Amino acid sequence: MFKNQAVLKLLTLSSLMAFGLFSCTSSKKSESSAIESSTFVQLPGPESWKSDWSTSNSVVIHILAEPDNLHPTNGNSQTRAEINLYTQMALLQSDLRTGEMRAGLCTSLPQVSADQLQLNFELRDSILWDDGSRLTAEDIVFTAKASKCPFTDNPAAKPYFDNVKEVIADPTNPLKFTVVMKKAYIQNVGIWSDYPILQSAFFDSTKVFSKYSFSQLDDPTFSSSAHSDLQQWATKFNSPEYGIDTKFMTGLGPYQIQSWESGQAITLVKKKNHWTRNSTNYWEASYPEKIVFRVNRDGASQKLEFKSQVYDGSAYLGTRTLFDLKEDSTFNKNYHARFMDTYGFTYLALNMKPDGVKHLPLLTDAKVRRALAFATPVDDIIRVVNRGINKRVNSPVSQLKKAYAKDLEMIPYDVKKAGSLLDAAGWKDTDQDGVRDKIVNGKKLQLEIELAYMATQAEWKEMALMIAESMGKAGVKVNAVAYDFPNWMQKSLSHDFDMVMGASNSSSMPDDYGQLWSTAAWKGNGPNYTGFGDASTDALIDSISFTMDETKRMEMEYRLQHRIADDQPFVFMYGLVRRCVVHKRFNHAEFYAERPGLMYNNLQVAAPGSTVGTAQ
Amino acid sequence: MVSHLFRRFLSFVIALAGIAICGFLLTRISPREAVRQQLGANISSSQIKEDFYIKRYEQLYRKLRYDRQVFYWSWSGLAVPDSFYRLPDKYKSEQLIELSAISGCPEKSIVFYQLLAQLQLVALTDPDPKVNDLAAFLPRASSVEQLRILLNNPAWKNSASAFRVAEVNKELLDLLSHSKPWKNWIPEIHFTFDNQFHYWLFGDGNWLTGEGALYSRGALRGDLGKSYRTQSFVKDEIKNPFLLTLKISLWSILICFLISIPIAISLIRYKHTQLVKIIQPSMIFIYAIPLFWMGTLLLMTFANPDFLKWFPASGIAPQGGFPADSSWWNRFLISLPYFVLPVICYIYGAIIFLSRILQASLLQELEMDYIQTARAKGLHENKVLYKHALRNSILPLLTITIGALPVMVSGSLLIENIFSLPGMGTGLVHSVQLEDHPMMIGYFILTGAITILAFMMSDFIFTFIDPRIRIQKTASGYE
Repeated sequence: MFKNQAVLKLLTLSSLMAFGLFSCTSSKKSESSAIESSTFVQLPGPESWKSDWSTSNSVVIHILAEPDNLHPTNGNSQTRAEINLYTQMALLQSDLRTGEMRAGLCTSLPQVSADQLQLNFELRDSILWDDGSRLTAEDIVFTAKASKCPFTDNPAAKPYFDNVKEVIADPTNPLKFTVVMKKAYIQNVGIWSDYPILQSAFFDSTKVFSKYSFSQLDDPTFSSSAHSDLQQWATKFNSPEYGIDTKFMTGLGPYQIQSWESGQAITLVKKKNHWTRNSTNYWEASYPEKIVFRVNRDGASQKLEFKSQVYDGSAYLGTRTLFDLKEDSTFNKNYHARFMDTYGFTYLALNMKPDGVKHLPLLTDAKVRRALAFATPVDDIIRVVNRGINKRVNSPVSQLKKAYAKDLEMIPYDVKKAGSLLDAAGWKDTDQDGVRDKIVNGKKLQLEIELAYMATQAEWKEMALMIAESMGKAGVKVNAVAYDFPNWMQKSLSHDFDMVMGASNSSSMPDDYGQLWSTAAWKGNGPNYTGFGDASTDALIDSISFTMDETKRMEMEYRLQHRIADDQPFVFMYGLVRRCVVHKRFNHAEFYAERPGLMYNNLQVAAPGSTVGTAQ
Repeated sequence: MVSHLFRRFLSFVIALAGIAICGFLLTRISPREAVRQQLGANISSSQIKEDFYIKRYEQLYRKLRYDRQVFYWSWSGLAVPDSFYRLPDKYKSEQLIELSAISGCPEKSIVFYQLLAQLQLVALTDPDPKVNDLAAFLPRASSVEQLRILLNNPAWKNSASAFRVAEVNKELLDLLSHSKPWKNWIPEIHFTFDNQFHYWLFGDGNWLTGEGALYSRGALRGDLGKSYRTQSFVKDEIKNPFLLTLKISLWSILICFLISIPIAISLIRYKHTQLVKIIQPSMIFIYAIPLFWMGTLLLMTFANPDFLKWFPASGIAPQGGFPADSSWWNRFLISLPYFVLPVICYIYGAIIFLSRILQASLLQELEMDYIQTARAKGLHENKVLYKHALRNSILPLLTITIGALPVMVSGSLLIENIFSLPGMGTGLVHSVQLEDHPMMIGYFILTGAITILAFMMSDFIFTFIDPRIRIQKTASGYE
């Protein structure tokens, strides 16, 4: 769930961004290719077993930071969500290979009513909780109520569950239930994707929630003082007991938390006789007996640990660290490593609607914005700053997605063209000081803009300086100014900038364009930093959000992308990459464009002399 | 002596209270960012989520009591009430402060702001997109001048909101024409028990007994609340990093002493040899090596499978933990290799520094008359050096070393980062980055307490070891 919300989440995480690339296809690629351009890559098992390879059926994974907690629903960290993939299960899951949604705990994707407000689900029959009891619709009702409850600490999930009117269990069949939504919305089904289902009997043994209806939980006047039993329940539910104490961690996934050594490692151990034990599906298989997540933040130390084969996999290495490792023959002998495409991109956002006082109307003309796009040396940035691993992008929609408008033109680097566009817009260097100027409302304005970038990584600065130099050649004076992340974010959200450089991420799930492109998101100090949009684009965005017919929806998505390209609120630069590494001693290894990049449950140690294994 | 101890204890308590208050006040600088961090990156504005986010933000802001007065008393100019600074909405806060500061009339500023909010609400639904945009800018106008420009925009003229704009303009003129800026210069002091510090100190339950507390029983009862990030109690969160860093620090100090004393003596004893002439500049060279570089060098040399793989490159324990039935001694031996490189990083500079200090101190001491007398008596040079000179020279060393304890305990972020040690330095930096206020205060207090304790210890050890230093009670106090 919340994959589209990742657009927002990764705005925050973009301070830790990696520099990556995009691609145009979604087919499998050969292993020899240095850069992969697909939604997934299937890796071959070992051709020959090396004597120094471990035959241990434990998998040790490198992570950069431990999670905030391991609560099934409460928490913000990405690591928590990734570990929960092995310990929890959801009604629906993202198919990492295709980027589509598929059934998880239910028999198939839900049947959606004509008005798109009712989702009919049926649970699989064989699913058992750790205590041997069966998963029923009652657990789904409880999960929805707990997630809606105003006292539970799951702010990321709350807005989505706020749109859930009620969940009705079928009185005749404990495996069937209907989710009733308040409004039709593109992500109504997606709410249930990768969102852990909670065991009612475990988390609510006293059945507190049976006293409360969904409508009560929706009541804005619902207060803790009037419902102390629910408040007490929520206090316990929110407590670290369920997020840190391994004794109180339960879920439908094939693994359970064995230990959590603070700041060091988290160990998952395979459950005995789990209901998935015979499954060979890559999302349910559980080949390793143990999965150990170990924290290591230092690049030099990471390199040595990989050279020593301490780790079996990672999706968190820095770009430079992986480049260095890929030059090492020992590493190449032992590991598969790839720069995998992701759904994110970097951009220059241009303020289309400045306040006119603090920020002058310099970029209000689409010709000027287009000129800046021509004057941005994206290819040089990719080559110089990112060693050529990234690919250019020209749309907010990833080229990995079907919704990407393939007929969009890539704007080349052309300073002359930029100059002619600026001339056409009336910006000329009348005083021969090297900076173009124009009389606007009786005042002479210089085309001098501030480029705000994050002071989090040296690469941002390098890019900003290259952009400033290049735009200077077109007669645009760019003052590159670094801001720490909170200030950068504040400036962007409050439209307090001329030009801002950043990164945005997304997922394989259908995009909710309202988050980045609706006028409401500009008015409400949201992530529509630039002021793009009008009534027509809002109507288009709304239609996209509420149209379930994929063909019709994509047609509208193409139109929106063209409109964005025409208005040029962003200079789209290049796509982000994920650095994926896995040991060659395993069969079934795969890399994915979608987060988390690798699934470790599916890694099967290839016995010495065994044949190449392929995941199912 | 008892009285002296009591006075020292009292000064310890006062200093610690000062540190706690400063730490607490420091964390109050950016309450809005702390709330945003707690809500995650869900800075949303999609239509389905915007209202929900704002509601949750304000709920959490109030739940954490950031809307209350920070301390028991606060002072502000009569024109701008202190409460304006603590509003959850940054823009509303800034506008009200600006309006009140100029007009000197907070009540009228509130009325004006309400009018402005009403205008925005209506104008946002106006069919003219230009009017929509102006409406969106209204709450963000950071100065009265900007507000005037916005309100006088010609786009309003043909809109349905034109009469409201006129009303707002009139109200603004009225507000400014009756301005009383002199009120900014008249201080107003507010006193209340309903303040953030009071809740932090006594908890949110009964302030005497602590009973009925929902979030914290109060710092006075040792409860610093829960970490915003993990929702665990601060004391539980800090315990492990503290013990790890303390362990490394104590070992480092011990090893430092054990190594720097023989080095200093050797440097004196063999001061005329070629070896010492080479070693001394080398020591300065090593001392000048930056910490992060030394850490990386050590890693690349002694944890490198391509060179010497003597030590593990990260962590503090083997993967999968210690064997279940291993004894304390076995655990120590197993974990020893993990600490070798970090401890070298901790002490290489200190050893050289202490050796040089001790060397200088010893040289000075060896020139003293009593040393000459000892030599004249025919005492063996070793006895002169170890029994007489060293005893007196070691005093400054003790003071310096114990004084360095707080620096070590507060943790070295660089070392902890290079070797992936979950110590105090990393913990403190993470808590600052994530605006985890309870954890930040916890770290400040702990580091402060150790600093004060270390100075007291140094004081006492100095007094204990050196017979020349005596505490003598005189009529005027202590000397």
